[in-house]
Amino acid sequence: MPKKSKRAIPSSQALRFIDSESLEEILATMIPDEGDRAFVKRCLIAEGPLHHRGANYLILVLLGRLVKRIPGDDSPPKGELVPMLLPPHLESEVEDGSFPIQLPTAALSDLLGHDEAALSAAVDCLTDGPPQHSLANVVTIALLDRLWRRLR
Amino acid sequence: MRDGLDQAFKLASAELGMASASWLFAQEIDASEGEVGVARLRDALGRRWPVLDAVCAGWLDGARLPPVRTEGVLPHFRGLTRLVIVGLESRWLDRLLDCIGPELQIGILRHSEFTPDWERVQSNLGERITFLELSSFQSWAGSRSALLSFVYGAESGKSLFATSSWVRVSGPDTRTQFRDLIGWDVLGVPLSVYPRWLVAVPREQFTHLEAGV
Repeated sequence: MPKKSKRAIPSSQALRFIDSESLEEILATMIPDEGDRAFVKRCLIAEGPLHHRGANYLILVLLGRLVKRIPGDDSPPKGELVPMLLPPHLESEVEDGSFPIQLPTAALSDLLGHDEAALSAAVDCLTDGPPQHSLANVVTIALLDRLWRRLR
Repeated sequence: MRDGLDQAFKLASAELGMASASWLFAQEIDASEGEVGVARLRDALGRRWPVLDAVCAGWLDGARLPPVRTEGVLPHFRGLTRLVIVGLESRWLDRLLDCIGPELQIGILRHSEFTPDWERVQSNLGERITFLELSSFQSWAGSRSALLSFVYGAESGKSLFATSSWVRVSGPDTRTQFRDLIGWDVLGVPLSVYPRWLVAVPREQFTHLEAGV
């Protein structure tokens, strides 16, 4: 029987398993610029609620390990821009309001039968919300996209 | 006399910044009255103006106007197109403006509990500065943008103090709209009285914390 969770881990210990370097290794293949990479990494594992930081780390590093086992093209993902969550009244004024990583769409498009409208809706779902959600979605899809292309 | 001095220091703090004004006052009073005058200044205004208190205490301990250090912060500006500065410290701003090329746009948040004469501040800093309002400074957000705040007391290794303006702009929404959040310590001497006008903030709020003296 699985143990019942008691949420008894003290906050100071909740993220003790995070090894920033492991995530860095994965992101280095996606975001060449060091400053850009540090920004995305901060949004993934150093901002927002603790449980998101920990969950993002675990999912992305596990997936990254899996992808690494199948050699292939490691170039940065190309696709849709990932908008920052900006105040609505200022959105049109911000010139550089996207995160420095793009959402690849090849695997998604294949999944959705190359239906453009469905793909737009999927992109919207994956890139909306605070960055601890949207960027985690994007890096996850980028890793899955690599896996999909390598296993095809 | 004390009230007049207090008003003068408040005005100078509003338009120059608390650290810049403190060093200026300590220097000028030492020049005219010697260290006895600096000790009197500390006793008269120190409890109300903790940064001045720290500077006077440092002065009496042999510290003198420190050179502005930019070598820590400048590398963090590489690749940026916009820098939003929170707080005013004229000595540090002047030096920064001398070091930064025109490719980096510089904005200053127009927010201060001291309500300075912003036109006069603008005329001191020059046309290169764009003033940004609290309601719209995020129009300068982006993955090539950074926030820089003056901070006080980083050398203690424990608490770090920033202006209330920094507290207003560094919420969880804004933190992920700017690539870097840089703290630039302009004090360099320990604070010893309760730092009113300033707010204790966690060091982890900043992606980079650099010495300015």
